[in-house]
Amino acid sequence: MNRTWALPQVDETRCTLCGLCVEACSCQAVQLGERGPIFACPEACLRTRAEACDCCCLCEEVCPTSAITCAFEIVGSGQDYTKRN
Amino acid sequence: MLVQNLSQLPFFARLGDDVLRESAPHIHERTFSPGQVILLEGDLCQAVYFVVRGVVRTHRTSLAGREHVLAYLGPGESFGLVPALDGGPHLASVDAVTDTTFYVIPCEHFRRIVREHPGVALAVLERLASEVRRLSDVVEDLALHTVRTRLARFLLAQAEEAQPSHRWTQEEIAAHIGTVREMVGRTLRAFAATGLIRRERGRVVVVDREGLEREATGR
Repeated sequence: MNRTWALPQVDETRCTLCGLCVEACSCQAVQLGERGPIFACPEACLRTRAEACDCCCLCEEVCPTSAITCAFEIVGSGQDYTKRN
Repeated sequence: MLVQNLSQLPFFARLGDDVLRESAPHIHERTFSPGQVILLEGDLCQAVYFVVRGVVRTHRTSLAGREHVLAYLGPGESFGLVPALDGGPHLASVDAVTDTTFYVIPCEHFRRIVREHPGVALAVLERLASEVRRLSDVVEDLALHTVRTRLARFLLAQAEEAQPSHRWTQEEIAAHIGTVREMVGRTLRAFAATGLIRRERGRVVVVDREGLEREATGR
């Protein structure tokens, strides 16, 4: 399913270019651009750009100015929820 | 048209068409866009707002800027009742989550309706009573339960919805359950590590409902 909206969103007006998101990213999907972080596929990554980031949300967690947000839906899985989702 | 729409709202359903027609000139329709501030905590009360379409968020904010969401209100729900009745300032700030339409009734006219129509007065009392119950639950949640418990309850409640109605950020959830973003992130990771939830692209999936229910009851 296409969830490109699920890539972290950056509010460049809040970003101070501190680079903590780059350090925190476990899959090296973040590079620091001139105006803020850019979520891009690492060179070695064979997957599409939208799949490079695995949405662990660590970047959001470490951002001191709340410039990064990762939106997600909350759904159920398993027998209790199967019929609905 | 306004009279017909008014009769769909819980309070006004108890009024006859003649009273609704009499009230109509005092009632104004207003629309707001997503993110637009409708009123601020501490503002003097000018009117009671009834949501006709859309969703609004009521919240309080600390001096340090930390926000706590009190409620999301949809069609048929209202805000501004307490200050309209006691003459004090608004208890919370309100902003529009979606495109929203309201019927706005000046406080003075609203008080007149309440005075003259016991059915409306009773509806107002019932509404305030249910709010006291809800806020008592909120106080219990904040005072007696850990962030882990509150987050488990929140996830279970959201997963109950047939269709996800909202895409949440950690900051929004923190404002909703009375904590900070870092705690939400840390607790989500802890839940994922113990297999209660699974994180996917753009999704948090509740995979062990029973386990999360145990967390939600603090057992």
